[in-house]
Amino acid sequence: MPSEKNASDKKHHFLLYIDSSKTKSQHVTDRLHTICRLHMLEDYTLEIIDLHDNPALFEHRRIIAVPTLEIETPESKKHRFVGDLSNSEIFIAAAGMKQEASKMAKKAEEILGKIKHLPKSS
Amino acid sequence: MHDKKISTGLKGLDTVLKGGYPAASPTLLKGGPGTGKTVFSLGFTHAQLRQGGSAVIATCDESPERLVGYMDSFGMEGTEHLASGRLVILDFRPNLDETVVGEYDLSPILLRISHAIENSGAQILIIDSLQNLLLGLGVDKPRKEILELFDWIRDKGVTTLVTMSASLDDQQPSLLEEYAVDCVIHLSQNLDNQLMTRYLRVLKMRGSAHGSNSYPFSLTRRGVSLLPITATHLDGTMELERISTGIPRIDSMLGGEGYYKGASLMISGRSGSGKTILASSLLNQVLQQGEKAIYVSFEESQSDLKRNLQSVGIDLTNHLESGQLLIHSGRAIEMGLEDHLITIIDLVETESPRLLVLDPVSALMDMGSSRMVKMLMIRFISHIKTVGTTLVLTELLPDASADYSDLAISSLVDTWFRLRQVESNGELNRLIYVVKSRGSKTSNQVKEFTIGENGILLEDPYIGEGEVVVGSARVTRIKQEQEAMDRKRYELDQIEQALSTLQTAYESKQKVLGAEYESEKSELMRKITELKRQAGQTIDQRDAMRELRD
Repeated sequence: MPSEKNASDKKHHFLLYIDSSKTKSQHVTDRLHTICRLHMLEDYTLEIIDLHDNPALFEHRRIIAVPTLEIETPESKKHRFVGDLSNSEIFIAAAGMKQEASKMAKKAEEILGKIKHLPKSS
Repeated sequence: MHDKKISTGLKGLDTVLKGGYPAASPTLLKGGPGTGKTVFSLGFTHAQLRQGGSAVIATCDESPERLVGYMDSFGMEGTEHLASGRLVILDFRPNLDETVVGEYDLSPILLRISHAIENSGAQILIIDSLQNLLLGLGVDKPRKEILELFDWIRDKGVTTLVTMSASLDDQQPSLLEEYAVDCVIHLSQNLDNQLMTRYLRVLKMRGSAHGSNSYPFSLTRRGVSLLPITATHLDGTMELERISTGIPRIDSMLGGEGYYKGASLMISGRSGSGKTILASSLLNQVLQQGEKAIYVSFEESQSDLKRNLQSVGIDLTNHLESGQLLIHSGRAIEMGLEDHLITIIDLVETESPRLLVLDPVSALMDMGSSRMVKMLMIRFISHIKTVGTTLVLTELLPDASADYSDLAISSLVDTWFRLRQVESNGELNRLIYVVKSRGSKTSNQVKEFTIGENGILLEDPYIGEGEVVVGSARVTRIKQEQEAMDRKRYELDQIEQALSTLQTAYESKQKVLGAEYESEKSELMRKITELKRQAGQTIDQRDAMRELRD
């Protein structure tokens, strides 16, 4: 994903803390990408931090379980999720993705409405 | 398995655990809220740091700043230790804004802890408290990873203290207690007569003996203070040195030289019998010799006591100012018996006095069931004995008690004085006697004493006709005796005079008789001479006649 600094406030920022030696941490990246694709979230950055590379950062962020996912939404809301995203419903709701998707649907409807109005105006 | 123990930083607890927490393995400290789990663990941390070691605290309840603040307020130098880098506090407080979305591993806990221990070279680890570690994840039962953590602790040989909250009704041992830890210590609070007392009990300790009773402890300004029971195995050191009571006649009642150093003395009597004054006389004697003493009063404030004793010639002002004497006053109902005894033991440990007075000890006695009180007093008296401090207890006998002691502790003391007041001829007279005194030839006599402006003064009571007479009756009796003596002396004089008269009469009669004898004798001699002369004349005449005839 290309990350542009100018557009950063319109993006979701994902910070994923994992323990690369654990299986539950290994599939979480793929699962995150899939969820984003399914929910039409394309504009995001993802940073992955392995516990074994940086234990001090885990200390600083007070992380006790892996995987832990930190999200910063475009509205600067921060959320923290613990787990391998296998229970994605809660994650999707809490991350505001459904809202995003429904916004899209609304937009689509608006566009559709405009299209419907086109013949009248023309 | 455990040949090594690590000092808990608490003398009393070290005794109970026979040396300390088991080294290189986890110990569980379980207790309800407010039982002092955190204070115990901070005390352990401080003991370790003071010896030059390092410690890691994983805090799950309090912020690291507050923990350091607690340590500072208990005088455990938290700020200094943190600055030196030998104290590392890991913030494991739960993030309550986290949402659980699926499966997870707890490997960061172990990694963070091991990272901190390896970096600081810490010998001990504190986890306070375990059940809150996973609170943010909605987990209240220990998981497999926690057990792994304990295995890792054993592998690495880190002495660990884990605290865990115990709900009041849950006394079932958990998986953690049964499997993961080697030593389980239970802390609890008991409310008795509206007074709260904290207790400690060692539930298990693998591969080692430990004290198995419930030991009371209290939280003081210096941390935890546990009532030790060191001397329940009667091996007090033998003291042969004697200390004078300051009243020579009482010394002689105890066999001539006073009481043994470090003995426990009890003075029993009804109110007003002079217990406080006798105890203070003993105290004053010790102070006069330049030794330290502590007076614990449950009845009088320091100023009242000072004034009252001044009136009987005991002036404590200088000793109080020099710090040689410490008066600790407080009402018995202020706190539980255990807390009282712990406070007193703390005082004794910091001041190490030669003499300790508890006036009156009976004030503490109605603070629980008599059996429990006796048990505690046994511990207390034997503890004071091991320290080598002379203990003076006064016992207030109720007026209706017929002068019998209802404290069951008289068998525990070495020397027991009884003070009595006897009413006769419209006055109350004070008596003292020694009920027992171990290792001394005690006087079996009841002595009378008076309290004057020079303190206690012993009188010799009149003993005759098989009863003791005291007070003014004693004076009367002595007077009567004197009169009888005088009368007899007069009679004796009379007889002596008669005797000498007889002698004179005899002697004069003898003289007369002698004179008569002499005169009669000379008369007879004269007659003999005369007759002899006449006979001679006759012979002479015959011879002359013969010559004439021849």
